[in-house]
Amino acid sequence: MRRFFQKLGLQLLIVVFSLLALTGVNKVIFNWSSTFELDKNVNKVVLGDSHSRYSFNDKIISNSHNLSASADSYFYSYLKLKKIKKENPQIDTVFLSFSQHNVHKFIEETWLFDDAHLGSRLRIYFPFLGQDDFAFLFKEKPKKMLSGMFSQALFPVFVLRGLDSFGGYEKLDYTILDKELEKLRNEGRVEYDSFLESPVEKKYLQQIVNFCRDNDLELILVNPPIHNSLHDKQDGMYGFYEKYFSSVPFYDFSKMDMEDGYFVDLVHLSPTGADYFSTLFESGELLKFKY
Amino acid sequence: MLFNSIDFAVFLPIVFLLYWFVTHKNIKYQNLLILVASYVFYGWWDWRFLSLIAFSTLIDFSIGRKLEIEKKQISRKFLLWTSIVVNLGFLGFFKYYNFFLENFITAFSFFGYELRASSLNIILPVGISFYTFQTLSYTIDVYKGKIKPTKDIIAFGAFVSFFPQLVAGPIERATNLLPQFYVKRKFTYARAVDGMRQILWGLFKKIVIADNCAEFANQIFNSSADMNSSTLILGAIFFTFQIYGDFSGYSDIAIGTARIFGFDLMRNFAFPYFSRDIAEFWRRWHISLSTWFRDYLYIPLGGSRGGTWLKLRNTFVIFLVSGFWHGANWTFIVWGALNAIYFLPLLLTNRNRSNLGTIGEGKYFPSFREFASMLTTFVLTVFAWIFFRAQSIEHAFQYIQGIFTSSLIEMPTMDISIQLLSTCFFIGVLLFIEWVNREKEFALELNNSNLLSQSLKRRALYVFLIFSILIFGGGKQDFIYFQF
Repeated sequence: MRRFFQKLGLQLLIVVFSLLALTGVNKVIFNWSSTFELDKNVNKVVLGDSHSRYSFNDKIISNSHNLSASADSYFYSYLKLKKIKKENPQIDTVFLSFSQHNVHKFIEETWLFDDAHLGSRLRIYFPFLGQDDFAFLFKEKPKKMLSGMFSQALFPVFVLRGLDSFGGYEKLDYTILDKELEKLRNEGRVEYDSFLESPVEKKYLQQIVNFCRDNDLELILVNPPIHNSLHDKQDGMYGFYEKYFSSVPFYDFSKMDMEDGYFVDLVHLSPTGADYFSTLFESGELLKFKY
Repeated sequence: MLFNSIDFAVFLPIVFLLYWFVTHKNIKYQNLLILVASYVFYGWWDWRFLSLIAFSTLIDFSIGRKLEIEKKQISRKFLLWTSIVVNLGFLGFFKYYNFFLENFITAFSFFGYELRASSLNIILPVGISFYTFQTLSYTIDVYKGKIKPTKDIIAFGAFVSFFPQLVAGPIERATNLLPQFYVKRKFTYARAVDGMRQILWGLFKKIVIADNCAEFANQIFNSSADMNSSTLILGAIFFTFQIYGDFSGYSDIAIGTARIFGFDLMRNFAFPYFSRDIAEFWRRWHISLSTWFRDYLYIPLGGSRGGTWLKLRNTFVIFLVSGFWHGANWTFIVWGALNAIYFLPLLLTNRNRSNLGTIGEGKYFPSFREFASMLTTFVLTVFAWIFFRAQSIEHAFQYIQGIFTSSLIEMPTMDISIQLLSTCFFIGVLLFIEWVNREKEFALELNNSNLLSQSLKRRALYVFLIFSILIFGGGKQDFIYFQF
């Protein structure tokens, strides 16, 4: 029996040691690499989820880099911002996507604590986690965090992909607008039909605000264009902004008059839509949309 | 409680420590611990159905005792049939009531009679098909005099509800498992290490192979109407590995767990996808069920002793019943019939026992002929699984129709994702390790003559498997066979 426990213990030790060793190597790579270094002339970054990802074409908007990633909650935007600023001190402006769904409670179940989503994010963001961030996730999802610790052992694979791991502007090549309009008529859309604020997203948005303030970064909240069928369904988000973040500059482009061809679905711009929007953005014509 | 859950990861060490350190001095206490642990294990899922197991246990224990005393043949027969009716009655009610009702209504409406009856919202108790067959084997064996009825209700209760194999087998015979509850179990290092290896291999098959394959198989089967031929073929192949990983993985964990408690359960899978014909496949797939049907149905029906017609009838009966055992759906019956049809040519030409050994015995590679036979058998099996997985007969035919179209030469329409690539890689790992160790009891049974015998290689393999399980584990899915 003793031999059995000894061997079992030894095997467990080997596993734990391999895990720690790989985690250590990853951490070293993460801290020492300059994978996240942007061009020196880039002083504006765009953060957020797919809304901003498919709206801001950083080839059109000068001195900018779009680092938005689909389905990124503010928790991950915050982690990303800390690392990017550290490696790119020249950055002075942060555009952060701010739409109704970003501060809606349902985001917590889908973009934060959903098992599959959390697993995929941990593979990329594990080395970004500070003690508090780790404790926050571990408290909510201990099992997933445990498996995430093993998952992140593959992090170097993602490092090789560099900034691409963080998202970035991309052209969408599908169109499902008609289908989504029909669905909206029949079933509605949870994040726009009723509003329940997310305490977690609020907390991490506040962290971003604090970080920008402490690091002399100008933070600008942006609500990218959405289809006109959703224009009058954003009261929850406006109320949230006025209640908690009214001191932060906010540009609301959601109600811009844009034709159907500029959308691939209700909330994402097509490449033509993104080019149109980005050109106007670059020209400064959109300043009138300040909330 | 699921084997692939944190609950079980906590439960198992607690029971293990209590078993070997607290109750080890008295076999009665050990059996009692197993009984209590088994009821906790089952009750974790739904405590209400514990009464069913307890009732089955009491009925068969009492009938066993009475069979010992009763000498009159007619009374003994009555007792046997009481056990059969009660056990199969429960099974029939919980599993097949709605199926029969709906089919009766359909049959009557075909002849112009409109029957009115509403189906019941019945929850199928997990593992009912498994423990029912296990208790039945006890009564039948006592009746036939193959085993002496037990006087120890605790040992019998532990035999019926033994948690490693309670909900998905292997379906144990009383003649093999029950006597193990009478003798003092000894902890042996070799047995415990073997058990741990088998658990590890079972977890790999379930979590890495089955759960990942399930995601692709579900995706393809659920929208098969929109898929091209090559994607449908991939879907069927993914399901082929899903069901193998799922079910044989469960069996491995069950057998391994039993081993660390000092019990030997029967082998349930013997690398079935390396079979050279369907007869061999059925000697290697779900062995405990196949042999159960052989011993308690096929042989009592006359087996292969009669003429050709009788042999054919008995073969069809056993395959159809086996299909129906899997579930109350015509898809399972057609799956059984299809396997019977595959089996027929071998039976009629007396070649159903021509491949009794292992493929490519003593060699690294099989001969070309063996390889071709293995591939043919695999293709036939994949085809049959389509019926098993489809939601209905119509769905199965629609799926098969989709395969035989001109899109057969097109590329599959699935996105090449990391998950898809890693799943294919792990299927390769599974086939490689199983092929290398195909002459062993299970794929991770290692000894000195083995390719992976060196300590360093072995430990590296364990680390690889553990990391694979933790990193590449698919979305947690219930074991398929729980529904049977």
